[in-house]
Amino acid sequence: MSTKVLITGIGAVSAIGLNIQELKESILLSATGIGFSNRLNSELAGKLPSAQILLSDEEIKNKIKGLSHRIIYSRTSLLAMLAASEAVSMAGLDKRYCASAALVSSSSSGGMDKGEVFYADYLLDPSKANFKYALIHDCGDASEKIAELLGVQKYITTISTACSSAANAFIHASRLIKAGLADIVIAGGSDAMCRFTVNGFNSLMILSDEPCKPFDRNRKGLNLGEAAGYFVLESERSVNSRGIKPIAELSGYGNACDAFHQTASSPNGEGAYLAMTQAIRTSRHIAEEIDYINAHGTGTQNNDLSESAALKRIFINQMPPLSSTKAVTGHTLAAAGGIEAVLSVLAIENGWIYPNLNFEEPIEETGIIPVSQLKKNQKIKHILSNSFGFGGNNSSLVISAC
Amino acid sequence: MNELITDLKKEIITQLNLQDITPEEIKDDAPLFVDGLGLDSIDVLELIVLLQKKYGVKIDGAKEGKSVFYSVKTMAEFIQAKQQH
Amino acid sequence: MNLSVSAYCRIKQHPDNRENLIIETFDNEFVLINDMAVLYRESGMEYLKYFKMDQVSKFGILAGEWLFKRGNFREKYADQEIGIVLANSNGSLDTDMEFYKTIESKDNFFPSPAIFVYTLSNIVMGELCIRHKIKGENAFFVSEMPDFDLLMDYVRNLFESRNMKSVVTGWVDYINGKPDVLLLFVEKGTDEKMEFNKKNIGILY
Repeated sequence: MSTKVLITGIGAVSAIGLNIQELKESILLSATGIGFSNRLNSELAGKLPSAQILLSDEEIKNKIKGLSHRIIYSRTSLLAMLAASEAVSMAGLDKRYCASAALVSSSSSGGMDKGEVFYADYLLDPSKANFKYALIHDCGDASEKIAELLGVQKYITTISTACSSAANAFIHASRLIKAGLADIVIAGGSDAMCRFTVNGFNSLMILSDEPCKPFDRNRKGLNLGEAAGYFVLESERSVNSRGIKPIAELSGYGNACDAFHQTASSPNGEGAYLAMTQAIRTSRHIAEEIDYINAHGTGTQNNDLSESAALKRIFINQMPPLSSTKAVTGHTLAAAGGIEAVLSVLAIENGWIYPNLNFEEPIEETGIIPVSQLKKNQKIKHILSNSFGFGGNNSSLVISAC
Repeated sequence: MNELITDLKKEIITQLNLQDITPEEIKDDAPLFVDGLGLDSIDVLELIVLLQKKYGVKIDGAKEGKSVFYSVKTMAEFIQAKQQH
Repeated sequence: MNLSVSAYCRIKQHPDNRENLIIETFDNEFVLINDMAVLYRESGMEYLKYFKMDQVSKFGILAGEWLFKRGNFREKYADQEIGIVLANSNGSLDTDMEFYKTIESKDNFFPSPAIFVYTLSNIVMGELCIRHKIKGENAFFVSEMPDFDLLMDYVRNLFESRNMKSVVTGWVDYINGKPDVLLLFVEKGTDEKMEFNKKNIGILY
């Protein structure tokens, strides 16, 4: 009989809050993080709405205790360290526990925010380029930096599967716990915005020049964002021996490949359907018991239609309340699964159902109507959270009340 | 116009990495987005970039793209029309 | 539970001549020139989409061709019964650099969507899934050196707890013209096949 996977700490940084407290305050105000910022010093980024964190790297660094002044950190690692240390602190883990914990972190852009600066400088004049930037370019760097900061030694790994990365990090962490390979796992994802990402997404013509409208008939595309979302996950044995109360449970998960196209989802949402079905099944519940769906809902023509088709295949009798929070946080790529899982935990804890901002008219083909105002005092026991990545990597989580 | 069409065919082959296809094999009027060339949505986007890069012609959205990229001939006509302004 | 390697494909740079590659499978070992068109031809596949892919995906697809040639895997298993777990060290760095070239100068600023699509570590997995209709669980790890312990544990876990019937796993890395690929097809144990364990993976690598 394998153990439950319990959530004992959460940490998040995004455009609507540098920590859980700020995040909760923003939720209650129905604030949105989508706006205009030219922190990236890019003509394109300045013109398009995005959910950027309005702090410089230095300002973020100053919020993290224990960092060296001399070391250069990528923005992705800074966000990751901030969120991961919040989760660890909430779970009450000191360095002794962290030493024997595992870390499963994830990112898709890694240190590209520094890498792209280095490369540009290098091409102009190699002698002027800062090689330290090149050293922190890879996706694994944030994982290493978190491990160093928190004192994790036993097991450190990095997952990189585009927009499903953080969700996959949670899945892998759960597997480690169920297999008895770790009792405590720090897991999540982080991605900072950079010019590379903005230009790339723009070339795919899926960025909206307005705040995004998930599940709306007139949706024009997504807004990029940056964030980090982390959990501390523990076995029942660990929770009991530490004598603590878990916040929620990661009760189910599923992952499948859509196998349709590098960046587009299949019309009937096959990969999404398989992942969600698997998640509900492993949670040992049924579709009718899902109280709220935090959809992937990027606001692109393709995703929202495909995801709607898959949802209708599963929730045949009645669609639970659903919304996409990407009109608030932006699409934070690898961090999306992380920040949205954190939001799911807060929803359970506080009885909230989040609004799907900017929604006006349903998609003609599916008629799904998401929740449009923040709902409070709800009885939420089980939430389905979706994260679907490029490459057809589709993941779904079921997060449940304890 | 003929020179433009031939030139365009060569550019399409290079830009889209179409292996084993010669310019002669692409008919002027043949629909591009049917089985023959196996082009997909990413290819539309690449063609939009091609038009801008090589011919200085801008397309505003993938939707406008559908009619412009119907065939090599429609692409050539579009380029000529835009360049005349 | 006994797991075995029913097929494998190793692609690596020839130690004596950097312009050549060594390709190994259970049935064959041969040397080919490191030229993408030549490799395509030798693999016998008819899949023109290959030419649109980035280098990592091309090598992943090539290894997949030689892998799937060996058994009737596609007839044996339904789409959701095949999982895929891959890893590499360089992520999509080679392709990232290619993409960067399209945005590096203000005067010649044309971000390429076709290249951008491949600037993800896991896209090679997506391509393999599309090619071979693999719809089971898929995971991609990034580590400095091949961590076969991790892959082994993960794969074993998929069989034991997810009732996966088969898994494609391995290491698909590429940087600066140099591929480093080991792809394995793992099934539940049968006689006469190579056992799926760390020692054997090490030998194949």
